[in-house]
Amino acid sequence: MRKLSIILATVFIFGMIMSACAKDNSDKGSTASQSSEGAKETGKVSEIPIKLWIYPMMNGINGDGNGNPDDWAKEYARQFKEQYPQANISVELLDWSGGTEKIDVGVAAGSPPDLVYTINNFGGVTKYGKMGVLEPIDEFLTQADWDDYSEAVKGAIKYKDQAYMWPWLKMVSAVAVNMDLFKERNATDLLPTSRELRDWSLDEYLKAAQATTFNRSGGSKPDVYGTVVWGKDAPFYMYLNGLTNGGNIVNPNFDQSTITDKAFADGLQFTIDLANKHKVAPPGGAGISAMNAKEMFLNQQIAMMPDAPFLLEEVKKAPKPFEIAFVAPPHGEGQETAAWNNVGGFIVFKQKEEEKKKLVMEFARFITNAENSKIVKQIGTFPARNSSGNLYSDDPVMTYFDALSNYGNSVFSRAFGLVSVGDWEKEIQAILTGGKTVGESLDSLDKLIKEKLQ
Amino acid sequence: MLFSSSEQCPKIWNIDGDNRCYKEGEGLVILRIKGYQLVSFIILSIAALALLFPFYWMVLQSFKPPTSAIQTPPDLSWGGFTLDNFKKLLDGNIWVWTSNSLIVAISGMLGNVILCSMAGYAFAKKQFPGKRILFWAIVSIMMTSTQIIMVPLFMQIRDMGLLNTYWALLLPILVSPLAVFLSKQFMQTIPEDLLEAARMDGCSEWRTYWNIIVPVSMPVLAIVGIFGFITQWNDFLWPLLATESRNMRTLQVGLASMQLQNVDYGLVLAGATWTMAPIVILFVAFQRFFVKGLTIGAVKG
Repeated sequence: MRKLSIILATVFIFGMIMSACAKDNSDKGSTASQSSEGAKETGKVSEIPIKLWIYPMMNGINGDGNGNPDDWAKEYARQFKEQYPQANISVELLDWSGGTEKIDVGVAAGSPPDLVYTINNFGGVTKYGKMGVLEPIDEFLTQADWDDYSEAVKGAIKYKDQAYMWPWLKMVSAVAVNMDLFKERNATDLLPTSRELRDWSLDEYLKAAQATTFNRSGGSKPDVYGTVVWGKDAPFYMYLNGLTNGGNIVNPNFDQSTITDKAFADGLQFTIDLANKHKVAPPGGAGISAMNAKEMFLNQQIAMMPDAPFLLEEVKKAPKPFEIAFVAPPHGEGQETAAWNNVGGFIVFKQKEEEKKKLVMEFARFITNAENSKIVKQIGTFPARNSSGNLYSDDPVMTYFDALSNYGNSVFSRAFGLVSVGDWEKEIQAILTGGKTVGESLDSLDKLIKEKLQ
Repeated sequence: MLFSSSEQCPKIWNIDGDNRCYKEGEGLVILRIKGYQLVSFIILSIAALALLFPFYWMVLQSFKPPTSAIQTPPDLSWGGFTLDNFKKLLDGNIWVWTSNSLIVAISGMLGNVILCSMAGYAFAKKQFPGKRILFWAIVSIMMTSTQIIMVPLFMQIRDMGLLNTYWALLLPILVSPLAVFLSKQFMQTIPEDLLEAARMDGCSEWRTYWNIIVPVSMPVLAIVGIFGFITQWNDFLWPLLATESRNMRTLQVGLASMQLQNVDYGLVLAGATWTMAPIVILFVAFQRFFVKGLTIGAVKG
């Protein structure tokens, strides 16, 4: 007993001493802050600490996969410090599952980061803009900056009439098509691949989905479906037909809900009918997640699904790789095509000191300038600035996506941030399971959106 | 009871000419499995297999290429093994994260065992003003969701200047209301005579606690320790909030930060296998305490 007590006490005390001594034996300060130690010693520069939070998006200094997920950001911090020696930048890596909670706790506790990466469908601009915890960036954006952004990007960085996000990348969605399945069914002529924008109507889409819903072994129950409708994760894809049918979630001024308009409701009804009426999507859609849908697509059990260009790389690594093509999202009669437009960038939280605010803004400008934005090519997206040029001139797929990005609707993607993902999911699940009609679900969402807009 | 050979008959039993075992004076013991026992055995076996299958699949897929995990139907064959996922995993900061997790989990376990058993002893065997109110206040914390206290806790740790240190990870977990509750409930059952005898022999309060209470309370302390270890090992949200740098991350948070936008299933499953290994070992070693832990405090007196 005595021996045991001595051992326990020793281990406990040792652990405590170790903890106390190990006060951050870390790489906290990044390259920038490491090099700032010298400056501290000389006392020549009074340092301004800047906290940058990012998500794991690419590995390595150049984003080429060789290294750690925060290397590229630390490299930018190092380069920025060369120009601004007083900047002491620490880079913190969040993660996709808990990052948002960490930001929320930081905001609630009054110690958010100085700048953090966010993207439209996270709803960061809307959420934090509404809370009044963000610094507007309008006074820091020059006319040259505004001229450098497309309309879709300009619309995506605002909450009400002020800009809050330094745009860095843009991505757009299309419909991914398994060409092997279409060839197997002799249905390639049903696809709009010969059209310049590869756009098509909802009816044409339905015909293509019906042609590729079949049973390989000749049974009555399909084992391959033309498309997929899901109720969990990334619900914006499921509401997209409301937009392409001429509706939208809110009006262009972003001050009124328009989600119950007939055009939007009919577009959503079309999506639901794909599963419940036409049976061209796997049953049990309410329980299917975006990840499940992708797995089915990669296993050649689904012929068409909405997704971003990264899917191309995943198809190459699929159990049985196949030929893939991308076409535009289908649109309603008399409408032009519209795409899910997602703009990512950096938001700056409220600053107490003017000098620090200027420096943080300058750092945000530095990360998102035309040259530094080119790194986003590593994750299959486009720089937000036009002056970054066409990074994909030798890539027909990405060139197509670039063309489609002009049809990206930023009001739609921003409005998604008004309501929690859980609420969007809940309503689509209710419709798919027959618990609610499209109208009833949209009424529920309408109430939530109105509350947020007030 | 029938045996195939006389060697298999327990030594304390006798054996007759037909290789049948029997106890002196008790006649033959014939094992009969009743119908309902057979049915429940089959049902429980199926349930056990259903529960074990995901773990089997996880370990299997962690040794296979990433594409194998998304194959339909699932690839359950033993071929095509690769260590690439583990190589990728071990290339990162996995050792630092694992040691951080061990420091946090072991310190949490020891803190729970030592501090909570003291509190439990005081609540069980001592009289002091406000004892009941204080005890129920502690119990009520068990009913409070962890997420609710995250913001004030974060502010407290931040204001103490402890963010991104081991102290930030350790201080909030050294004491657990559940551990206090379990200790108190168990220690209440220790006979008062035992303590009286110790006092009459001249034991100090500390010695009574250390030499009498602690040895007798070993079963509950084992449970408190195991639960403490597992809870801290699996914790995600608080280590995420309390740490900033890569080298201060715990295993759960570190692994999550390795995951880029496109899910690498091989890496995820290798990470999950790596993370689960200590817990499985702990469970196998101390499973009888787990079962005990479910019933401690259920019966008063």
